[in-house]
Amino acid sequence: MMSARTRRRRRSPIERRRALTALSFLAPALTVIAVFVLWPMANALRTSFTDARIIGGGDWIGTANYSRLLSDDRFTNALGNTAVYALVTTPVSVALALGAALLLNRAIPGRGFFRAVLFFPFVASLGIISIAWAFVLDPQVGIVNHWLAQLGLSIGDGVRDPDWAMPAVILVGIWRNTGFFMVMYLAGLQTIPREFQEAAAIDGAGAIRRFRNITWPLLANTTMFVAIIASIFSFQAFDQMYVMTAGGPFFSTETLVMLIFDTGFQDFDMGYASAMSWALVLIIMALSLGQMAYFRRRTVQY
Amino acid sequence: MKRRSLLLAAAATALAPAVAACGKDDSGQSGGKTTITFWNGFTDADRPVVEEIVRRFNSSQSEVVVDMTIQPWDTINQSLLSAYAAKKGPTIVGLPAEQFTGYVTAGVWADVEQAYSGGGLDPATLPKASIDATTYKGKRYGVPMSAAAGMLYYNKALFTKAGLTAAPTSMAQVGEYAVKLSNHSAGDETKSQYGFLLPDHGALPHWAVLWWADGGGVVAEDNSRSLLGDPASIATAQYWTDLIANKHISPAGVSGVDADNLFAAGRAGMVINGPWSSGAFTKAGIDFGIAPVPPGSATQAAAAISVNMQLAANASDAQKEAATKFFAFWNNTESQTYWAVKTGYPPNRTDVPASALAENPTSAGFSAAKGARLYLAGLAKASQIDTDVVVPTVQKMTQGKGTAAQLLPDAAKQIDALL
Repeated sequence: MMSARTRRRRRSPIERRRALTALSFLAPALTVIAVFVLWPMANALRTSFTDARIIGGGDWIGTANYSRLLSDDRFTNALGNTAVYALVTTPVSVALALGAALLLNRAIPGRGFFRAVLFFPFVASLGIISIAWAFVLDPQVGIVNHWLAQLGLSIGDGVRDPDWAMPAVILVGIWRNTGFFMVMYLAGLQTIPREFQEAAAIDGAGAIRRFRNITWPLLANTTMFVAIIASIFSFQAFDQMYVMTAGGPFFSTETLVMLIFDTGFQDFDMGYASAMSWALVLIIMALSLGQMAYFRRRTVQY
Repeated sequence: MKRRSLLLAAAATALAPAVAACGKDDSGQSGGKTTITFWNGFTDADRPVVEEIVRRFNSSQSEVVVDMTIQPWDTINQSLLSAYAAKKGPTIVGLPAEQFTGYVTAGVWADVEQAYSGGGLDPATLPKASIDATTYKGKRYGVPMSAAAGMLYYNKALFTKAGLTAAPTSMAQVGEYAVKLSNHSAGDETKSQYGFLLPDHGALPHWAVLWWADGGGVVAEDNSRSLLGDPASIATAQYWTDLIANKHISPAGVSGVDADNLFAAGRAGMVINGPWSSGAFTKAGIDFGIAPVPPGSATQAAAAISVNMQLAANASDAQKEAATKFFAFWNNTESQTYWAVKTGYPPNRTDVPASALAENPTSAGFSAAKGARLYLAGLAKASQIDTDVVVPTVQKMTQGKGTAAQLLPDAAKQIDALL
């Protein structure tokens, strides 16, 4: 702390010029972030303390919106749905991605093809693939129900069934993100120096042992990144619910982002929707900080 | 020097879009012509018909241009208020009548009295329900764009197969026929056939029609309280829910699109829908008939479909005058005959002779609708009442998460709080 301060005071003219140049290169990006991210966020924070509607309202009502959150059953329900969605999608998609990456990091035939197939869902529009999934899973006209029926299995009313709607949107969420995380893990795997694996193999370590003691610890940085991104993705879940279930049946797949959208743009209750958005920001921030603190202890440098 | 110019360039790059946005001319006047923007949601088969009428209007005018944007109704609903707040809203907007009150109370529209007095529109020849639904504090704010009522589509081939010869003439018969027309394939619903589809969202308000017919409803006609908790509403809801659960007359929780798909696939006996579906059903090769929704024990009721054009409060005088011309053009005999023949809607004007519609039997059929009634008209929170209370309650009921007697009184309480 002390040394940093002294260094700043004794900056040479060259250093100052360099800093200025760096800043001027950053200025366009910083301006965009300030105008399109920071300013709207600050504005939303102010709105969250008002009773603003899209037109009219806007009187200061203090923390009333936030205390309303605490007693709102629909908010609690959406929070619960989001938590369930996140708790299932995050670990499952990260685990599947790691498995796929380990498999496709080897010289197997058709490697490029399988990598592309797994990555494709992430590139395609989630809205459009959700329409496709809704068709495939439809109980009356969908192919999956028809196949399952041959095996004597049933998915009830599919995405219209309160017991199956959440699993269906979770499935689509996992299917979409696994490929992206797999690419992250593949990149991580490529950075692990080959000598480590070879040395361990010469010392007689088997495949499982090498994974546990070399690959997994050395992937810690990638895992931190993937885990944080995966949980942010799941807290932002919106598209496939909006398209496949519209949050139904009876709010059983309504996530926080859906509720925010509905409150703001269907009910036009901007003040309350802004309060919910800020609650979501705080939840994601707390979660990310927690994850960073957890993973930082496991960071490796080599 | 160099660095400073670099900084300036960076700042200029960042600010360019904002500056450009500020410079846009917004007055609606360009080159001596008055431009009026027009939003509506006719995205289906009726889209080319709307476009053609606007094209005809534009080529008939030397001073006025209508610049139309067609986008889905829910997109309009989600962006309209923000657009008005940013002073970028459309000069005229076509919207379903259920949404009227929410906007007019926000003060974003001007009245259109001038269109009726000297503007060329005679309210006596136009749909009364549409004009009533868009009258606010004694002033008329809307001009009819399209008006119809939901009719009962029935699959003639399936009727014959089930030994039925004509459309049902009472709601009790609808239930009876629905059971005869249903053929449930347990275990593989992709082979099931349904007697009477009852979509609960993204469709005409089927459940409201059932309630009205037998003396119940979602809200009282004077909008003073919810009727969902009344014995008539509870009994009707339980009757149809039992038919869904035990006789499989419809899948639970279907949307309007699901219902259309099943009917177009020849797997449904009856469905209530507007004129816009007839084209798709014909194309799918379905031999169907159209009949008025039959009377129940209390009355004969059908869901009114009313889309009206409204005028922005911030329109200039020239734009108001231009809009008045367009309103009259849309509703003149020639445009309305073209509209009816091409879309299957009944014409807005009562003075279009039936012979002019002979070319399109759907239009003639829809002209025979009876008991048209607007769902949740005149309520500022209409869409909230529907999506937040009515839809989830019906879904709980049809998914077996409670009986009508358990769920409807509570729903009525929630609606009362929103009135």
